[in-house]
Amino acid sequence: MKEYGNKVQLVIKFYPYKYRDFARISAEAALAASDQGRFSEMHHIMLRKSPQLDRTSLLAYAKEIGLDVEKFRASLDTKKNDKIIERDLKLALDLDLYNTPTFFINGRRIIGNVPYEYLKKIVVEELNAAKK
Amino acid sequence: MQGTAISSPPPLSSHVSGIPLLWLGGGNCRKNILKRLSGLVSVVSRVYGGKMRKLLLIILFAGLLIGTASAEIKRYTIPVEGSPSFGQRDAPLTIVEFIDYQ
Repeated sequence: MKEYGNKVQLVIKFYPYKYRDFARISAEAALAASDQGRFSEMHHIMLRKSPQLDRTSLLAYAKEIGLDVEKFRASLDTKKNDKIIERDLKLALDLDLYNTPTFFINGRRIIGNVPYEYLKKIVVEELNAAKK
Repeated sequence: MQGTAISSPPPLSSHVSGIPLLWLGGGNCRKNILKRLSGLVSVVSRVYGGKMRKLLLIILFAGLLIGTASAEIKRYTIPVEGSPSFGQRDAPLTIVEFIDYQ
């Protein structure tokens, strides 16, 4: 994102693995933060702190980034954004995804934690193609 | 090949359609085709000699390169409305990332 500025949009879809204890709640935390306009901060702090993503830690991160903690807590408790997560899960299953992260770069599927240079190569190819 | 996976190899047919035939059908298909090609090269070499074998190898290799180059990239349409994002909505390039934070 830093390298390509306004030429790239990154959209996040949630695909919490059902056998990981905190995968689902961390997705809910991301959306709860998004409701308060702080998705970016929560997204990045969770990536940094992972796998420490239990409920207590998430509440601490919410406080750290300046969220309304009570609203955040209520969002987690009521599973307010459950529909969005279910929607993304269904999409992932429909796409037959089996690994995270999975990227779609202008629709081209890239599976797994690939080297940055490889992702960059695809990005450059697609940006060049978009210019034509 | 597109779709390099670190953790486990993807079904390659979901990334590339058309030629190269070698990459469709999985490992057994590849082994069978390579075995047959190897047999063909041996036969040609015995019947026509070393020069023909070299010519056949060059033709096969060129065919593989052309096939790989002409293979189509499969693209998926991913709906993005209602999902959190970074960057501008009208950017020329959209990356959708399916993520598990844990």
